[in-house]
Amino acid sequence: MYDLLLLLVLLALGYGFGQYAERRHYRSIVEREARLNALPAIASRYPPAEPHYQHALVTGSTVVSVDYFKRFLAALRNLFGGRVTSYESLLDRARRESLLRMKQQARTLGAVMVFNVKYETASISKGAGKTIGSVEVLAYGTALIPTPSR
Amino acid sequence: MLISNMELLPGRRVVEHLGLVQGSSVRAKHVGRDIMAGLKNIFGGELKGYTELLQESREEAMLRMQQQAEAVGANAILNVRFSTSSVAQGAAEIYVYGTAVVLE
Amino acid sequence: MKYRNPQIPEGINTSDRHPLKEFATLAGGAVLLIVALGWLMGQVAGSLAGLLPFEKEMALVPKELLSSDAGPELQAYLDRLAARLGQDMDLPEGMQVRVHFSGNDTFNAFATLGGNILLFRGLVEALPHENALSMLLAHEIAHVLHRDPIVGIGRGAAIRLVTGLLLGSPDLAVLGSAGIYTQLHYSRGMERAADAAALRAVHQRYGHIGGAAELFNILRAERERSGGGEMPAFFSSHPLDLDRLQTITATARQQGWHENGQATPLPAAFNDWMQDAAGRAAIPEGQRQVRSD
Repeated sequence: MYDLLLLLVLLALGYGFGQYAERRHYRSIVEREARLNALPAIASRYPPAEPHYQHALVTGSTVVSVDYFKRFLAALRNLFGGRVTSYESLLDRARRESLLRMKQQARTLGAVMVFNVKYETASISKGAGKTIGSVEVLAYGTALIPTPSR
Repeated sequence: MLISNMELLPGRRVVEHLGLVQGSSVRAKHVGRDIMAGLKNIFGGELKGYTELLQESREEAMLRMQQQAEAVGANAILNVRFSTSSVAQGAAEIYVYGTAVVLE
Repeated sequence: MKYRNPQIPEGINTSDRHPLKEFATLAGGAVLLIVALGWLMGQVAGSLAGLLPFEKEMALVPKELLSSDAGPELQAYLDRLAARLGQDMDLPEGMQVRVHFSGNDTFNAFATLGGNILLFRGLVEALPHENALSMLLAHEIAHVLHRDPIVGIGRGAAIRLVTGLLLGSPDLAVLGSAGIYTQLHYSRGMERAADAAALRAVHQRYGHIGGAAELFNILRAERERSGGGEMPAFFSSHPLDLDRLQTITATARQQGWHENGQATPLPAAFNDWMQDAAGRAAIPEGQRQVRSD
Protein backbone atom coordinates (compact mmCIF):
# COMPACT_ATOMS: atom_id res chain seq x y z
CA MET A 1 0.00 0.00 0.00
CA TYR A 2 2.73 2.43 1.01
CA ASP A 3 4.79 1.29 -1.94
CA LEU A 4 1.96 2.18 -4.25
CA LEU A 5 1.55 5.53 -2.57
CA LEU A 6 5.26 6.21 -2.90
CA LEU A 7 5.11 5.24 -6.55
CA LEU A 8 2.22 7.62 -7.18
CA VAL A 9 4.00 10.43 -5.37
CA LEU A 10 7.17 9.83 -7.37
CA LEU A 11 5.19 9.69 -10.60
CA ALA A 12 3.39 12.92 -9.79
CA LEU A 13 6.65 14.63 -8.81
CA GLY A 14 8.37 13.33 -11.92
CA TYR A 15 5.54 14.44 -14.14
CA GLY A 16 5.23 17.89 -12.61
CA PHE A 17 8.90 18.77 -12.48
CA GLY A 18 9.75 16.92 -15.66
CA GLN A 19 7.16 18.69 -17.75
CA TYR A 20 8.10 22.03 -16.26
CA ALA A 21 11.81 21.51 -16.88
CA GLU A 22 11.21 20.26 -20.39
CA ARG A 23 9.05 23.19 -21.36
CA ARG A 24 11.60 25.61 -19.93
CA HIS A 25 14.46 23.86 -21.67
CA TYR A 26 12.69 23.92 -25.01
CA ARG A 27 11.98 27.63 -24.62
CA SER A 28 15.64 28.29 -23.94
CA ILE A 29 16.73 26.06 -26.84
CA VAL A 30 14.48 27.81 -29.32
CA GLU A 31 15.61 31.20 -28.11
CA ARG A 32 19.33 30.36 -28.34
CA GLU A 33 18.88 28.63 -31.66
CA ALA A 34 17.50 31.84 -33.07
CA ARG A 35 20.42 33.77 -31.59
CA LEU A 36 23.05 31.42 -33.03
CA ASN A 37 21.29 31.00 -36.34
CA ALA A 38 23.82 33.16 -38.13
CA LEU A 39 26.48 30.55 -37.40
CA PRO A 40 25.66 27.57 -39.58
CA ALA A 41 26.66 24.04 -38.65
CA ILE A 42 27.34 21.96 -41.73
CA ALA A 43 27.97 18.24 -41.97
CA SER A 44 30.06 18.55 -45.13
CA ARG A 45 33.72 17.63 -45.03
CA TYR A 46 34.77 20.18 -47.64
CA PRO A 47 34.88 23.68 -46.27
CA PRO A 48 35.31 26.55 -48.67
CA ALA A 49 38.96 27.42 -49.24
CA GLU A 50 38.31 31.11 -49.77
CA PRO A 51 38.50 33.41 -47.89
CA HIS A 52 41.28 32.16 -45.67
CA TYR A 53 40.19 30.50 -42.41
CA GLN A 54 41.81 29.29 -39.25
CA HIS A 55 40.53 25.97 -37.98
CA ALA A 56 39.74 24.75 -34.50
CA LEU A 57 37.97 21.73 -33.05
CA VAL A 58 34.85 22.69 -31.15
CA THR A 59 32.74 20.40 -29.00
CA GLY A 60 29.54 20.55 -27.05
CA SER A 61 28.14 17.86 -24.84
CA THR A 62 25.10 17.31 -22.69
CA VAL A 63 24.06 14.61 -20.29
CA VAL A 64 20.33 14.52 -19.72
CA SER A 65 18.33 12.31 -17.48
CA VAL A 66 14.75 11.36 -17.88
CA ASP A 67 12.29 11.90 -15.05
CA TYR A 68 10.63 9.13 -13.07
CA PHE A 69 7.34 9.49 -14.88
CA LYS A 70 8.87 9.12 -18.33
CA ARG A 71 11.04 6.25 -17.20
CA PHE A 72 7.96 4.50 -15.88
CA LEU A 73 6.18 5.20 -19.14
CA ALA A 74 9.09 3.74 -21.10
CA ALA A 75 9.13 0.66 -18.87
CA LEU A 76 5.43 0.17 -19.54
CA ARG A 77 6.01 0.70 -23.24
CA ASN A 78 8.60 -2.04 -23.08
CA LEU A 79 5.83 -4.50 -22.24
CA PHE A 80 3.89 -3.81 -25.38
CA GLY A 81 6.49 -2.57 -27.79
CA GLY A 82 6.21 0.35 -30.14
CA ARG A 83 7.37 3.90 -30.23
CA VAL A 84 8.90 5.06 -26.95
CA THR A 85 7.63 8.61 -27.17
CA SER A 86 8.81 9.57 -23.71
CA TYR A 87 12.47 9.24 -24.72
CA GLU A 88 12.10 11.12 -28.00
CA SER A 89 12.02 14.54 -26.45
CA LEU A 90 14.88 13.59 -24.14
CA LEU A 91 17.17 12.83 -27.07
CA ASP A 92 15.90 15.73 -29.12
CA ARG A 93 16.71 18.11 -26.29
CA ALA A 94 20.12 16.56 -25.70
CA ARG A 95 21.12 16.85 -29.38
CA ARG A 96 19.97 20.39 -29.83
CA GLU A 97 21.55 21.47 -26.57
CA SER A 98 24.87 19.88 -27.53
CA LEU A 99 24.84 21.55 -30.92
CA LEU A 100 24.09 24.87 -29.28
CA ARG A 101 26.96 24.48 -26.86
CA MET A 102 29.25 23.63 -29.72
CA LYS A 103 28.09 26.67 -31.65
CA GLN A 104 28.49 28.81 -28.55
CA GLN A 105 32.08 27.67 -28.23
CA ALA A 106 32.63 28.40 -31.92
CA ARG A 107 31.23 31.86 -31.50
CA THR A 108 33.55 32.62 -28.58
CA LEU A 109 36.41 31.67 -30.88
CA GLY A 110 35.10 34.13 -33.42
CA ALA A 111 34.10 31.45 -35.94
CA VAL A 112 31.54 32.01 -38.68
CA MET A 113 30.79 28.38 -39.53
CA VAL A 114 31.29 24.89 -38.17
CA PHE A 115 32.10 22.13 -40.63
CA ASN A 116 32.09 18.37 -40.54
CA VAL A 117 29.72 18.24 -37.59
CA LYS A 118 29.24 14.81 -36.06
CA TYR A 119 27.23 13.47 -33.20
CA GLU A 120 28.08 10.78 -30.71
CA THR A 121 25.46 9.30 -28.40
CA ALA A 122 26.15 7.14 -25.39
CA SER A 123 23.94 5.91 -22.63
CA ILE A 124 25.76 6.25 -19.38
CA SER A 125 25.14 4.80 -15.91
CA LYS A 126 24.34 1.52 -17.60
CA GLY A 127 23.76 -1.40 -15.34
CA ALA A 128 22.57 0.65 -12.40
CA GLY A 129 19.07 -0.68 -12.05
CA LYS A 130 17.18 -2.05 -14.95
CA THR A 131 16.14 1.12 -16.70
CA ILE A 132 18.57 3.80 -17.59
CA GLY A 133 17.62 7.30 -18.30
CA SER A 134 20.84 9.21 -18.76
CA VAL A 135 22.18 9.88 -22.18
CA GLU A 136 25.24 11.78 -23.20
CA VAL A 137 25.24 13.47 -26.56
CA LEU A 138 28.44 14.93 -27.93
CA ALA A 139 28.46 17.18 -30.94
CA TYR A 140 31.76 18.13 -32.49
CA GLY A 141 33.05 19.80 -35.60
CA THR A 142 35.65 22.11 -37.03
CA ALA A 143 35.13 25.81 -36.54
CA LEU A 144 36.11 28.12 -39.36
CA ILE A 145 37.57 31.33 -38.01
CA PRO A 146 38.19 34.04 -40.57
CA THR A 147 41.68 35.54 -40.45
CA PRO A 148 42.44 39.07 -41.56
CA SER A 149 43.28 38.95 -45.25
CA ARG A 150 46.97 39.10 -46.00
CA MET B 1 14.32 13.98 -52.30
CA LEU B 2 17.77 12.68 -53.01
CA ILE B 3 19.40 10.99 -50.04
CA SER B 4 23.02 9.94 -50.25
CA ASN B 5 25.87 9.20 -47.92
CA MET B 6 28.28 10.75 -50.37
CA GLU B 7 29.38 14.31 -49.96
CA LEU B 8 29.84 15.12 -53.60
CA LEU B 9 27.75 13.72 -56.37
CA PRO B 10 29.54 13.57 -59.68
CA GLY B 11 27.96 15.96 -62.12
CA ARG B 12 25.78 17.71 -59.54
CA ARG B 13 26.72 21.03 -58.04
CA VAL B 14 25.63 22.12 -54.58
CA VAL B 15 24.17 25.59 -54.72
CA GLU B 16 23.37 26.06 -51.07
CA HIS B 17 24.13 24.34 -47.78
CA LEU B 18 21.21 24.42 -45.35
CA GLY B 19 22.84 22.83 -42.33
CA LEU B 20 22.10 19.69 -40.41
CA VAL B 21 18.83 17.83 -40.58
CA GLN B 22 18.13 14.87 -38.37
CA GLY B 23 15.62 12.19 -37.63
CA SER B 24 15.43 9.93 -34.65
CA SER B 25 13.17 7.16 -33.47
CA VAL B 26 13.16 5.26 -30.19
CA ARG B 27 11.37 1.95 -30.23
CA ALA B 28 10.87 -1.07 -28.08
CA LYS B 29 9.61 -4.54 -28.81
CA HIS B 30 7.02 -6.17 -26.58
CA VAL B 31 8.22 -8.50 -23.82
CA GLY B 32 7.38 -11.61 -25.80
CA ARG B 33 9.95 -10.61 -28.39
CA ASP B 34 12.46 -9.77 -25.68
CA ILE B 35 12.03 -13.20 -24.17
CA MET B 36 12.36 -14.89 -27.55
CA ALA B 37 15.49 -12.88 -28.25
CA GLY B 38 16.87 -13.96 -24.89
CA LEU B 39 16.32 -17.58 -25.86
CA LYS B 40 17.83 -17.00 -29.26
CA ASN B 41 20.92 -15.66 -27.55
CA ILE B 42 21.58 -19.17 -26.30
CA PHE B 43 21.49 -20.74 -29.72
CA GLY B 44 22.73 -17.86 -31.79
CA GLY B 45 21.34 -16.85 -35.15
CA GLU B 46 19.54 -13.83 -36.43
CA LEU B 47 17.22 -12.02 -34.05
CA LYS B 48 14.44 -11.51 -36.59
CA GLY B 49 12.31 -9.53 -34.18
CA TYR B 50 15.06 -7.05 -33.54
CA THR B 51 16.07 -6.80 -37.19
CA GLU B 52 12.50 -5.89 -37.93
CA LEU B 53 12.39 -3.44 -35.04
CA LEU B 54 15.50 -1.62 -36.14
CA GLN B 55 14.38 -1.59 -39.75
CA GLU B 56 11.04 0.00 -38.86
CA SER B 57 12.85 2.42 -36.64
CA ARG B 58 15.30 3.38 -39.32
CA GLU B 59 12.56 4.02 -41.83
CA GLU B 60 10.80 6.30 -39.42
CA ALA B 61 13.98 8.18 -38.60
CA MET B 62 14.71 8.65 -42.31
CA LEU B 63 11.19 9.92 -42.85
CA ARG B 64 11.59 12.44 -40.09
CA MET B 65 14.93 13.63 -41.46
CA GLN B 66 13.32 14.01 -44.84
CA GLN B 67 10.48 16.04 -43.33
CA GLN B 68 13.01 18.41 -41.81
CA ALA B 69 14.85 18.76 -45.09
CA GLU B 70 11.62 19.52 -46.92
CA ALA B 71 10.72 22.07 -44.29
CA VAL B 72 13.94 24.02 -44.86
CA GLY B 73 13.54 23.90 -48.63
CA ALA B 74 16.27 21.42 -49.54
CA ASN B 75 16.06 19.03 -52.46
CA ALA B 76 18.76 16.62 -51.32
CA ILE B 77 20.42 15.31 -48.18
CA LEU B 78 24.07 14.46 -48.53
CA ASN B 79 26.65 12.90 -46.26
CA VAL B 80 24.01 10.91 -44.37
CA ARG B 81 25.14 8.97 -41.29
CA PHE B 82 23.33 6.47 -39.14
CA SER B 83 23.92 5.75 -35.52
CA THR B 84 22.26 3.29 -33.17
CA SER B 85 22.31 3.51 -29.43
CA SER B 86 20.51 1.67 -26.69
CA VAL B 87 18.81 4.21 -24.50
CA ALA B 88 17.26 1.76 -22.07
CA GLN B 89 16.94 -1.97 -21.76
CA GLY B 90 15.03 -3.28 -24.75
CA ALA B 91 14.65 0.12 -26.36
CA ALA B 92 16.90 1.28 -29.15
CA GLU B 93 17.31 4.64 -30.75
CA ILE B 94 18.04 4.99 -34.42
CA TYR B 95 19.48 8.32 -35.31
CA VAL B 96 20.16 9.57 -38.81
CA TYR B 97 21.52 12.94 -39.85
CA GLY B 98 22.99 14.65 -42.84
CA THR B 99 23.43 17.97 -44.59
CA ALA B 100 20.41 19.45 -46.29
CA VAL B 101 21.46 21.01 -49.58
CA VAL B 102 19.98 22.57 -52.64
CA LEU B 103 21.32 20.90 -55.75
CA GLU B 104 21.45 22.63 -59.06
CA MET C 1 27.90 28.59 -52.60
CA LYS C 2 25.82 29.77 -49.68
CA TYR C 3 25.82 28.43 -46.19
CA ARG C 4 22.96 29.02 -43.80
CA ASN C 5 20.91 27.29 -41.11
CA PRO C 6 17.23 27.80 -41.75
CA GLN C 7 14.85 27.32 -38.83
CA ILE C 8 13.55 23.76 -38.70
CA PRO C 9 9.96 23.49 -37.48
CA GLU C 10 9.39 21.96 -34.05
CA GLY C 11 7.88 18.60 -33.38
CA ILE C 12 9.31 16.48 -36.19
CA ASN C 13 11.47 14.37 -33.94
CA THR C 14 9.05 14.29 -31.04
CA SER C 15 5.51 13.02 -30.76
CA ASP C 16 2.89 15.43 -29.51
CA ARG C 17 0.81 12.69 -27.90
CA HIS C 18 -0.01 13.81 -24.39
CA PRO C 19 2.10 11.87 -21.89
CA LEU C 20 -0.78 11.43 -19.44
CA LYS C 21 -2.96 9.95 -22.16
CA GLU C 22 -0.22 7.55 -23.10
CA PHE C 23 0.29 6.73 -19.46
CA ALA C 24 -3.40 5.93 -19.02
CA THR C 25 -3.45 3.62 -22.04
CA LEU C 26 -0.26 1.82 -21.09
CA ALA C 27 -1.01 1.53 -17.40
CA GLY C 28 -4.49 0.23 -18.16
CA GLY C 29 -3.07 -2.33 -20.55
CA ALA C 30 -0.37 -3.35 -18.09
CA VAL C 31 -2.85 -3.75 -15.25
CA LEU C 32 -5.08 -5.89 -17.45
CA LEU C 33 -2.13 -7.98 -18.53
CA ILE C 34 -0.87 -8.45 -14.99
CA VAL C 35 -4.31 -9.28 -13.66
CA ALA C 36 -4.94 -11.79 -16.44
CA LEU C 37 -1.54 -13.39 -16.11
CA GLY C 38 -1.62 -13.34 -12.32
CA TRP C 39 -5.08 -14.90 -12.26
CA LEU C 40 -4.01 -17.61 -14.67
CA MET C 41 -0.82 -18.37 -12.77
CA GLY C 42 -2.75 -18.24 -9.52
CA GLN C 43 -5.23 -20.83 -10.71
CA VAL C 44 -2.46 -23.10 -11.91
CA ALA C 45 -0.33 -22.69 -8.79
CA GLY C 46 -3.40 -23.08 -6.59
CA SER C 47 -4.39 -26.37 -8.11
CA LEU C 48 -0.79 -27.59 -8.03
CA ALA C 49 -0.44 -26.58 -4.37
CA GLY C 50 -3.57 -28.57 -3.59
CA LEU C 51 -1.77 -31.69 -4.76
CA LEU C 52 1.00 -31.25 -2.19
CA PRO C 53 0.75 -34.01 0.44
CA PHE C 54 -0.51 -32.81 3.79
CA GLU C 55 2.60 -34.05 5.63
CA LYS C 56 4.74 -31.79 3.43
CA GLU C 57 2.43 -28.91 4.21
CA MET C 58 2.81 -29.54 7.95
CA ALA C 59 6.57 -29.49 7.57
CA LEU C 60 6.34 -25.95 6.17
CA VAL C 61 5.23 -24.57 9.52
CA PRO C 62 7.80 -24.54 12.30
CA LYS C 63 6.24 -25.90 15.48
CA GLU C 64 7.33 -23.05 17.69
CA LEU C 65 5.80 -20.50 15.39
CA LEU C 66 2.35 -20.81 16.85
CA SER C 67 2.19 -20.84 20.62
CA SER C 68 -0.97 -21.28 22.60
CA ASP C 69 -2.04 -19.27 25.63
CA ALA C 70 -4.71 -21.80 26.60
CA GLY C 71 -4.60 -23.46 29.99
CA PRO C 72 -4.67 -27.26 30.00
CA GLU C 73 -8.45 -27.47 30.52
CA LEU C 74 -9.29 -25.00 27.78
CA GLN C 75 -6.85 -26.67 25.42
CA ALA C 76 -8.34 -30.07 26.13
CA TYR C 77 -11.84 -28.72 25.60
CA LEU C 78 -10.91 -27.08 22.27
CA ASP C 79 -9.03 -30.16 21.12
CA ARG C 80 -12.01 -32.38 21.97
CA LEU C 81 -14.40 -30.08 20.13
CA ALA C 82 -12.13 -29.95 17.09
CA ALA C 83 -11.59 -33.70 17.09
CA ARG C 84 -15.34 -34.42 17.16
CA LEU C 85 -16.03 -31.91 14.41
CA GLY C 86 -13.17 -33.36 12.40
CA GLN C 87 -14.75 -36.77 12.75
CA ASP C 88 -18.09 -35.44 11.58
CA MET C 89 -16.44 -33.79 8.59
CA ASP C 90 -14.57 -36.97 7.62
CA LEU C 91 -11.08 -35.55 7.80
CA PRO C 92 -8.92 -37.96 5.80
CA GLU C 93 -6.24 -40.14 7.34
CA GLY C 94 -3.15 -38.17 8.30
CA MET C 95 -4.86 -34.78 8.29
CA GLN C 96 -4.73 -33.38 11.79
CA VAL C 97 -6.05 -30.15 13.09
CA ARG C 98 -4.15 -28.33 15.82
CA VAL C 99 -6.02 -25.63 17.66
CA HIS C 100 -4.07 -22.76 19.15
CA PHE C 101 -5.54 -20.14 21.38
CA SER C 102 -4.25 -16.62 21.75
CA GLY C 103 -5.10 -14.66 24.88
CA ASN C 104 -4.91 -11.52 22.82
CA ASP C 105 -8.16 -9.55 22.55
CA THR C 106 -7.96 -9.44 18.75
CA PHE C 107 -11.36 -10.13 17.19
CA ASN C 108 -10.25 -12.81 14.79
CA ALA C 109 -9.73 -16.46 13.96
CA PHE C 110 -8.00 -18.15 11.06
CA ALA C 111 -6.69 -21.40 9.68
CA THR C 112 -3.20 -21.52 8.29
CA LEU C 113 -0.79 -24.04 6.80
CA GLY C 114 -0.40 -27.50 8.27
CA GLY C 115 -3.84 -27.71 9.85
CA ASN C 116 -3.07 -25.02 12.40
CA ILE C 117 -6.04 -23.02 13.57
CA LEU C 118 -5.56 -19.90 15.62
CA LEU C 119 -8.44 -18.56 17.71
CA PHE C 120 -8.23 -15.20 19.44
CA ARG C 121 -9.79 -14.49 22.81
CA GLY C 122 -11.43 -11.32 21.50
CA LEU C 123 -13.68 -13.29 19.18
CA VAL C 124 -14.15 -16.42 21.29
CA GLU C 125 -15.22 -14.42 24.36
CA ALA C 126 -18.02 -12.87 22.36
CA LEU C 127 -19.57 -16.23 21.53
CA PRO C 128 -22.65 -17.03 23.61
CA HIS C 129 -22.71 -20.83 23.41
CA GLU C 130 -20.89 -23.89 22.20
CA ASN C 131 -22.84 -24.02 18.94
CA ALA C 132 -21.37 -20.73 17.75
CA LEU C 133 -17.88 -21.83 18.80
CA SER C 134 -18.39 -25.09 16.93
CA MET C 135 -19.50 -23.23 13.82
CA LEU C 136 -16.37 -21.09 14.02
CA LEU C 137 -14.12 -24.10 14.51
CA ALA C 138 -15.90 -26.11 11.83
CA HIS C 139 -15.49 -23.25 9.39
CA GLU C 140 -11.75 -23.19 9.99
CA ILE C 141 -11.51 -26.99 9.88
CA ALA C 142 -13.33 -26.89 6.56
CA HIS C 143 -10.62 -24.55 5.24
CA VAL C 144 -8.02 -27.12 6.31
CA LEU C 145 -10.05 -29.94 4.80
CA HIS C 146 -10.37 -28.08 1.49
CA ARG C 147 -6.62 -27.30 1.54
CA ASP C 148 -7.49 -23.61 1.30
CA PRO C 149 -4.41 -22.26 3.16
CA ILE C 150 -1.89 -23.94 0.87
CA VAL C 151 -3.95 -23.20 -2.24
CA GLY C 152 -4.38 -19.60 -1.14
CA ILE C 153 -0.69 -19.18 -0.38
CA GLY C 154 0.28 -20.92 -3.61
CA ARG C 155 -2.02 -18.63 -5.49
CA GLY C 156 -0.76 -15.54 -3.71
CA ALA C 157 2.84 -16.54 -4.24
CA ALA C 158 2.27 -17.09 -7.96
CA ILE C 159 0.51 -13.76 -8.31
CA ARG C 160 3.28 -11.96 -6.48
CA LEU C 161 5.88 -13.72 -8.53
CA VAL C 162 4.20 -12.76 -11.80
CA THR C 163 3.69 -9.15 -10.85
CA GLY C 164 7.19 -9.04 -9.42
CA LEU C 165 8.73 -10.39 -12.58
CA LEU C 166 6.75 -8.03 -14.77
CA LEU C 167 7.44 -5.01 -12.62
CA GLY C 168 11.05 -5.92 -12.11
CA SER C 169 11.35 -6.85 -8.44
CA PRO C 170 10.67 -10.55 -7.97
CA ASP C 171 9.98 -11.25 -4.34
CA LEU C 172 10.81 -14.90 -3.89
CA ALA C 173 10.55 -14.94 -0.12
CA VAL C 174 6.81 -15.43 -0.20
CA LEU C 175 6.92 -18.65 1.77
CA GLY C 176 8.75 -17.06 4.68
CA SER C 177 7.12 -17.06 8.06
CA ALA C 178 5.58 -13.67 7.34
CA GLY C 179 3.78 -15.20 4.39
CA ILE C 180 1.95 -17.59 6.67
CA TYR C 181 0.12 -14.71 8.30
CA THR C 182 -0.18 -12.25 5.49
CA GLN C 183 -1.22 -14.42 2.58
CA LEU C 184 -4.49 -15.58 4.04
CA HIS C 185 -6.87 -14.26 1.48
CA TYR C 186 -9.44 -16.77 0.52
CA SER C 187 -11.66 -16.40 -2.45
CA ARG C 188 -15.40 -15.98 -2.21
CA GLY C 189 -15.87 -19.54 -3.41
CA MET C 190 -13.57 -20.91 -0.71
CA GLU C 191 -15.49 -19.08 2.02
CA ARG C 192 -18.81 -20.31 0.71
CA ALA C 193 -17.60 -23.88 0.54
CA ALA C 194 -16.20 -23.65 4.07
CA ASP C 195 -19.47 -22.19 5.35
CA ALA C 196 -21.46 -24.96 3.72
CA ALA C 197 -19.23 -27.72 5.11
CA ALA C 198 -19.21 -26.16 8.56
CA LEU C 199 -22.98 -25.87 8.56
CA ARG C 200 -23.37 -29.52 7.66
CA ALA C 201 -20.99 -30.52 10.46
CA VAL C 202 -22.78 -28.37 13.02
CA HIS C 203 -26.13 -29.79 11.98
CA GLN C 204 -24.80 -33.30 12.27
CA ARG C 205 -23.46 -32.62 15.75
CA TYR C 206 -26.37 -30.73 17.30
CA GLY C 207 -29.33 -31.67 15.11
CA HIS C 208 -30.06 -28.01 14.34
CA ILE C 209 -28.14 -24.98 13.13
CA GLY C 210 -29.41 -22.47 15.68
CA GLY C 211 -26.04 -21.31 16.94
CA ALA C 212 -24.41 -21.05 13.57
CA ALA C 213 -26.35 -18.03 12.43
CA GLU C 214 -25.54 -16.40 15.73
CA LEU C 215 -21.85 -16.35 14.81
CA PHE C 216 -22.49 -14.19 11.78
CA ASN C 217 -24.73 -11.87 13.76
CA ILE C 218 -21.88 -11.36 16.22
CA LEU C 219 -19.43 -10.70 13.41
CA ARG C 220 -21.77 -8.16 11.88
CA ALA C 221 -22.32 -6.42 15.19
CA GLU C 222 -18.58 -6.21 15.75
CA ARG C 223 -18.05 -4.78 12.30
CA GLU C 224 -20.60 -2.08 12.94
CA ARG C 225 -19.15 -1.37 16.36
CA SER C 226 -15.62 -1.01 15.07
CA GLY C 227 -16.84 1.25 12.30
CA GLY C 228 -15.52 -0.91 9.49
CA GLY C 229 -11.86 -0.20 10.03
CA GLU C 230 -9.20 -2.83 9.48
CA MET C 231 -11.10 -6.08 9.06
CA PRO C 232 -9.77 -9.27 10.58
CA ALA C 233 -9.26 -12.11 8.16
CA PHE C 234 -12.26 -14.08 9.26
CA PHE C 235 -14.85 -11.57 8.28
CA SER C 236 -13.07 -9.35 5.84
CA SER C 237 -13.38 -12.30 3.51
CA HIS C 238 -15.57 -11.63 0.60
CA PRO C 239 -19.10 -12.87 1.17
CA LEU C 240 -20.40 -10.26 3.56
CA ASP C 241 -21.94 -11.46 6.78
CA LEU C 242 -25.47 -10.65 5.72
CA ASP C 243 -24.90 -12.45 2.48
CA ARG C 244 -23.52 -15.46 4.32
CA LEU C 245 -26.40 -15.35 6.77
CA GLN C 246 -28.90 -15.49 3.95
CA THR C 247 -27.06 -18.36 2.33
CA ILE C 248 -27.17 -20.28 5.60
CA THR C 249 -30.93 -19.79 5.99
CA ALA C 250 -31.49 -20.75 2.38
CA THR C 251 -29.40 -23.92 2.77
CA ALA C 252 -31.18 -24.83 5.95
CA ARG C 253 -34.61 -24.46 4.31
CA GLN C 254 -33.51 -26.46 1.32
CA GLN C 255 -32.20 -29.29 3.43
CA GLY C 256 -35.08 -29.14 5.87
CA TRP C 257 -32.75 -28.48 8.80
CA HIS C 258 -34.09 -26.91 11.98
CA GLU C 259 -33.07 -23.35 12.26
CA ASN C 260 -33.77 -23.11 15.95
CA GLY C 261 -33.00 -25.44 18.74
CA GLN C 262 -31.67 -25.74 22.24
CA ALA C 263 -28.18 -24.25 22.31
CA THR C 264 -25.53 -26.22 24.15
CA PRO C 265 -23.99 -23.97 26.81
CA LEU C 266 -20.28 -23.46 27.12
CA PRO C 267 -18.58 -25.19 30.07
CA ALA C 268 -19.19 -23.45 33.40
CA ALA C 269 -15.52 -22.61 33.87
CA PHE C 270 -15.20 -21.11 30.38
CA ASN C 271 -14.96 -17.52 31.61
CA ASP C 272 -12.23 -18.44 34.07
CA TRP C 273 -10.31 -20.13 31.27
CA MET C 274 -10.56 -16.96 29.23
CA GLN C 275 -9.23 -14.88 32.14
CA ASP C 276 -6.44 -17.38 32.57
CA ALA C 277 -5.50 -17.18 28.87
CA ALA C 278 -5.60 -13.39 28.97
CA GLY C 279 -3.27 -13.51 31.97
CA ARG C 280 -0.87 -15.77 30.13
CA ALA C 281 -0.88 -13.49 27.10
CA ALA C 282 0.15 -10.61 29.35
CA ILE C 283 3.34 -12.40 30.42
CA PRO C 284 6.28 -11.45 28.20
CA GLU C 285 7.22 -14.09 25.62
CA GLY C 286 10.50 -15.18 27.22
CA GLN C 287 9.06 -15.99 30.68
CA ARG C 288 6.23 -18.25 29.50
CA GLN C 289 6.16 -21.92 30.25
CA VAL C 290 6.52 -23.94 27.12
CA ARG C 291 3.64 -26.29 26.57
CA SER C 292 4.89 -29.84 26.24
CA ASP C 293 3.04 -31.56 23.46
